[in-house]
Amino acid sequence: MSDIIFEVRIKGPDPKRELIMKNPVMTASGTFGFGREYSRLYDLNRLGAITVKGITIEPRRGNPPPRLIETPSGILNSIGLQNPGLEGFIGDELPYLRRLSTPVIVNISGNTIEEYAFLASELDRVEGVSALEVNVSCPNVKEGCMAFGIKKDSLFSVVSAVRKSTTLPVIVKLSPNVRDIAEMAETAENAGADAVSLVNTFLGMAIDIDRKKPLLANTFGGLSGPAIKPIALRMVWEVYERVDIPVIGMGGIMNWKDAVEFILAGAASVAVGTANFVNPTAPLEIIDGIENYMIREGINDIRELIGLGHRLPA
Amino acid sequence: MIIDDNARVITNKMIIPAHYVMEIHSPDIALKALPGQFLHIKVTNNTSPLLRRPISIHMRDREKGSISILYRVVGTGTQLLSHYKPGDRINIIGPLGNCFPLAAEFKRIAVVGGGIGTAPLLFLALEAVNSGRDVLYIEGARCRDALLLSEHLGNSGCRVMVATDDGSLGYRGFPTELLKSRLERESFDAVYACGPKPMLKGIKKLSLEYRTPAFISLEERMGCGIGACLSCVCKVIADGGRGAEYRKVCTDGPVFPAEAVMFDE
Repeated sequence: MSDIIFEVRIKGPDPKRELIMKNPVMTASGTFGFGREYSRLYDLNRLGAITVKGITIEPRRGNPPPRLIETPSGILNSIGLQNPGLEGFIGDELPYLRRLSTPVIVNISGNTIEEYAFLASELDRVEGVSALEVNVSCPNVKEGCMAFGIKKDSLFSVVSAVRKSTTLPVIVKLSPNVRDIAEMAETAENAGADAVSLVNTFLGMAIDIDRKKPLLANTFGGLSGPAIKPIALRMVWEVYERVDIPVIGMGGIMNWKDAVEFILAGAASVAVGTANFVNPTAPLEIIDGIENYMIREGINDIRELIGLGHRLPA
Repeated sequence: MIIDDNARVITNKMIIPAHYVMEIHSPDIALKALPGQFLHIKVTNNTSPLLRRPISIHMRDREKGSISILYRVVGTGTQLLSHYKPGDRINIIGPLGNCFPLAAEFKRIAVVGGGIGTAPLLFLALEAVNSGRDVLYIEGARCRDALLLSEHLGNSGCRVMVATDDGSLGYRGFPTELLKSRLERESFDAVYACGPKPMLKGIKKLSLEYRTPAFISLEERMGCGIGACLSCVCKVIADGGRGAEYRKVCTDGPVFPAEAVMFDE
């Protein structure tokens, strides 16, 4: 191992409950199940953090299939937040996750502000949760979720309510389906967010020209994968210029070069999503790749790299 | 553990137009594989098509350390797969999914394959014969020239019957009709099937009608292949028949008891 400082911290209101990642690479919610699935392929302790599948108070059945369509260099999904609910998560999934040395970020979704606040307060007292990611950007459920993330006042209300309900670090996952994502990030920061993660998927669709009908059972879905990377990168760049809290960058990161681009654009850490499906060991290759890049560039501390793209002359 | 292997292609041959058998050297997967399981195959290093392709394990040879897949070229992914040559490296993950349950009490079994759905059933049929079971193998195809397996099963110890849509060989009609006629004459302890959805729906109906357990292998669009993304779900009966839930084809399946599967939304 080299002497590189690779650690990334996201501070919350309680200094004792800081999110400390040993490296800047995490997995994106919805692409990594509850971790256990990928533990059959590699040691999850190597990851910076694991963000688990989004949970709601009650279990959700999710949307009917087909839920996934492949598009050029991307995928459209409409899972519809299928999950075992808060109790199911705590009882069946968390005991395994607790055994890891990697911090666990729990992604939460609700239909009302009260539901978000309830989830935050319940998870606040549960051992083994290192941070919350507030999902106000899932495009695949009829009520709530993205509706909260695309209007400033409702975003402010949700984030404020979550902030009051927990002393865990609060990360707000932003929707790219807005006019001005930097403004939304600023709103989240003003409401007490400790970090923002971006981007969630872009609302999209695909049509079967033979059946002359939408391919997804739910008509619309969220687009992810390399196809969205340039747009996600631009959004991270914009948000970095507007907020003082850490930015977690994601959107089509397939390899370490993509990850370095996001870090140069201002991401303090990066999340790997769709790439997990294509290459399950992608997060590990990305960790090694960033480290080798830093050695090659003579950069000792990841903090020197974060947002460097803004600081160097054009 | 799941094995992630940059494996060597041994052969990749067209057996009938648009249908190929690829043999891959992967000793660890060959050792662990069970009938009904599948591989998740990375067909390209480019980003389109982006996802891996789930393809069932057709055969395995433990001594040689190899596994085979039988696939039909239908889109870009399988087209790319057909271009692999002996000696090429191909990234495979496996063995994935559950398997066809060959319970000890299932001594007389019927195996029904329709079209390319017959691919995972050779492995099953041979394992069943080798463990001393009586196996009736029914293969359904569009026509005589589209049959994939039946001629290879001649010396396998299976009883082989064929159904073709046009009647160019064997029974004229669907393999389910042929199975029904056999169920009228003899009893089976279990039925195993893979093929198009209408055929599997027919198998479920026969399973209930003749009170014979049936196990069917399903297909659905997959993302991760290992149970994390929840893309590839199918609807199954839950709450003792009162409700329904979505189960993952990749890890809860691909094999499900026919009676549990709900085919109509």
